[in-house]
Amino acid sequence: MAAAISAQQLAVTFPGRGWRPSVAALKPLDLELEPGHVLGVLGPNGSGKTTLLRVLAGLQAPTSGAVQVLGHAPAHRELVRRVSYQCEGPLPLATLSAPEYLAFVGAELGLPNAVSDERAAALLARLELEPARRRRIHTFSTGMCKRLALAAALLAEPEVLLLDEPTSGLDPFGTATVMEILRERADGGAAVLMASHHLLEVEESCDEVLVLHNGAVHARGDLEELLATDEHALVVRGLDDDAMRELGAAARDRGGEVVRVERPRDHLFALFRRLGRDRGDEERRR
Amino acid sequence: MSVWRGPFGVTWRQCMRASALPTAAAALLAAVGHAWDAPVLAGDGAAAAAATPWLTLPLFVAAVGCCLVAARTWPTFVRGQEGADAVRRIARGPLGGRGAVAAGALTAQLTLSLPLALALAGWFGAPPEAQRHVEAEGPATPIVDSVGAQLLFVVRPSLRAQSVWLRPRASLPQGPDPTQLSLTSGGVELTDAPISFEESRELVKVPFAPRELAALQVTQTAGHVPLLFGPGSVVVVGAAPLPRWGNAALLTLYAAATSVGTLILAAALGLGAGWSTVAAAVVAAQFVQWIGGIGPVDEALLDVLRGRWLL
Repeated sequence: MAAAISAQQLAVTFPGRGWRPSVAALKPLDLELEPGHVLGVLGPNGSGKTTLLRVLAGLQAPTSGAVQVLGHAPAHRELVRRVSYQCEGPLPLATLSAPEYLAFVGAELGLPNAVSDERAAALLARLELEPARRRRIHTFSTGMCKRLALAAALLAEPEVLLLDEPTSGLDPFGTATVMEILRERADGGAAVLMASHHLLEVEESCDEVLVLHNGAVHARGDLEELLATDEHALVVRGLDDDAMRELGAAARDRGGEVVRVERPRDHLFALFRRLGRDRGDEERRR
Repeated sequence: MSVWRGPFGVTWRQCMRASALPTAAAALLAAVGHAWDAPVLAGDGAAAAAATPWLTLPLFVAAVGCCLVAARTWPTFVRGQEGADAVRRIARGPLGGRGAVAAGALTAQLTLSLPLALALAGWFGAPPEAQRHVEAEGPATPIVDSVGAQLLFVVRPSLRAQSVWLRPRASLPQGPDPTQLSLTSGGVELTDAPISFEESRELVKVPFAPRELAALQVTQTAGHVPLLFGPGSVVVVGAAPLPRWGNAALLTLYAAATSVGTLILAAALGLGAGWSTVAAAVVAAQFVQWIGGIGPVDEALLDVLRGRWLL
């Protein structure tokens, strides 16, 4: 299968001006992303995540190296509809309402009005923006803006999705919905490249990760392989204190180590997800 | 796909939302200002309308408002605006949507200006019909200073005329009698009435039966006051009237022309400058055209109020 995104020795250096030195925002990196895969790009602030996305979206020319998206140079006009880029930061045209904004995006992407409106309505409902359809964007919360930006990115049903912090500012329900949608799109054959600071999300949703640090690749590869270790851990539940003590002694006898014994509890994220599921069930029942 | 959904429609709607109220307020202020202090001049009523300054205000506010909104609305119009990346990637056309944005702003300006120009021109007393005015071109030495002296003026383009306005400069009289002139075209005298001058810049309107006029001969028939017919001192007035609303509609096109130049300037500046610089440039560019009299709009306003064709 041909790679949706392919880059060889891709590098970006911002030239210095006056006394300011030049900045190597991306040091030469190779990248391949297959259709149907989700790649998480991780790294601290200033590590080059956004620069990488802007290059792939055709908004930043690379200083050196070769890059192709769906077989074309990133700035090729044909890719405007086939590749979506959700950039970080505020939305433009903030005096429009959400349906007006999506209609604008649809028009610029050359979608027929009826198709654009139908998809926009479905996306607004899915991303829970329907109740705010009459409000102007500048009255939206950060999370609502993020969801609208994602709706705009999904409007053309692109083959490649480039997302810069798609869940920052979202509540856990919104995050879960967004990740669910991205997973669906990937299962439908889209290639998704997502820059994020949220490690848990990336771990749950991405097939591969690329870790950047100071513009250079720090780690990369399949998530299962990257996270695998040679050690084994045994997780048990349902034993009483005596049984636990015996199990610990048996582990020590065999050269093992009891790292931690704790009362089992949920993570907050799982708790929110469960609450969300319960809420969904309740709404369906109604 | 519809243009109303794209940058054209978005800008038009935004201009209307943001500029309609200030423009309406300016129009109200202009109407009140005119009612409070309407100019009253003796003689020609049309001249009184031309003396009112108030028509400028609402049209100026509409022009400035629409240009500012265009520059502010479209994220790539001015450097460093929010959401520029999202728009830059999807915007169509070689200008990245700026052309459509400018067209939307100009259309909004026309939408706001047209009813105001129509209503206020009437309210301020502009003549109900406008006539075409053509300045006749005279010879190199356009002076008559003795009986029998002749000057030939060319009317370009020729037109069907119904009167000629003469307003020469007078020199020191060489005798007691005012100078009398005759006007002929193609050997035919245009009027039997006497045409007489004794003061400098005295305006004499010479009406006659409508006829096609391509050239005009001025002959001194009597008197002792030398007359100089400099540029603009012989004006031929056409016979075909244009209704006031047509002339006012043309004025809005002149008004939009001021914004074309302003938006080009704003777009060029916006490539390297931020919002505050571009906004200041927009206001300054409109100000010098509307208030400073640079460009055609200031003259066009006067012509509408005087009842002169703008074409």
